[in-house]
Amino acid sequence: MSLLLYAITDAELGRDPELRGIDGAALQAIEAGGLVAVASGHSTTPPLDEAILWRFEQVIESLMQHGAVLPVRFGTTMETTDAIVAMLQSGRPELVDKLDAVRGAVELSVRGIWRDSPGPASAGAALTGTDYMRDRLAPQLRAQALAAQLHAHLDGQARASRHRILARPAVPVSAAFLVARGTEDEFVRAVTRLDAQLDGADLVCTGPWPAYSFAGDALGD
Amino acid sequence: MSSTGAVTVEHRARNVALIDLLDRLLQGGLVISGDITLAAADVDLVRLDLRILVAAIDKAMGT
Repeated sequence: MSLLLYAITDAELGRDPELRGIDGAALQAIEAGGLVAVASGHSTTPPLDEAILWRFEQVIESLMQHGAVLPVRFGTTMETTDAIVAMLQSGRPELVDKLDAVRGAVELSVRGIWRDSPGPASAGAALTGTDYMRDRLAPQLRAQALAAQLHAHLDGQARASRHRILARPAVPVSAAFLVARGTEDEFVRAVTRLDAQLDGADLVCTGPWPAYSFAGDALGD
Repeated sequence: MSSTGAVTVEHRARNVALIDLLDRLLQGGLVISGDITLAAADVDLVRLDLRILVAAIDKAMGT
């Protein structure tokens, strides 16, 4: 049986017998040095589908009611509780810093979506090497300009932010903002104001999410 | 500017938030190295990503 990890927290967890993990598995709180890893045991790999992803999310959201939470990358398993305890002990200083960074905050997602999908500027014309390179670069440059607008208008409302360009072809910019709990409405108003200024793009804001994008890079790196 | 005149704020409307959920679960979160195995091979997660996205788009299109 392997243990699927959901999150790491330093909060006092209340007992919620109703809350179950993926596939209805019981949740385990594995503690070491004031840190708690929440996991569930699975003898076989659960079938992956949308419901499982939402269940994973639901568990982490429930933990957030108790305090700061670092979501773990979906699909991470460890074989034994001893291995988890060792990870908590060896990574403790780094984990404490990461928890402090997200404490009292939530993540809000802002995606930019083009309203139009213009064809290449050189469409219909004889294509030179320069035209080809310009057409290849144009979506990147346009997306980067939108990302810069997002940061210029929204970073002041956030503790931290990051973005990805063209993570999917139809989504030029996917940005994440770490926002102090209680200021979400203010942030959304800032998104609304920016949206009203944009000619060619719509903004879609979702959240609040656990701080997936701010849980840090690989532990130990 | 959005066609409704206001930014689309979706508080977990599933079809819309699913893309954000996928991005976060599959590419975000704390990466723990060491004695770790993924519950599914990377290729399976990528296929899952695509399959769920297609399903979400189908729902959004009402098909």
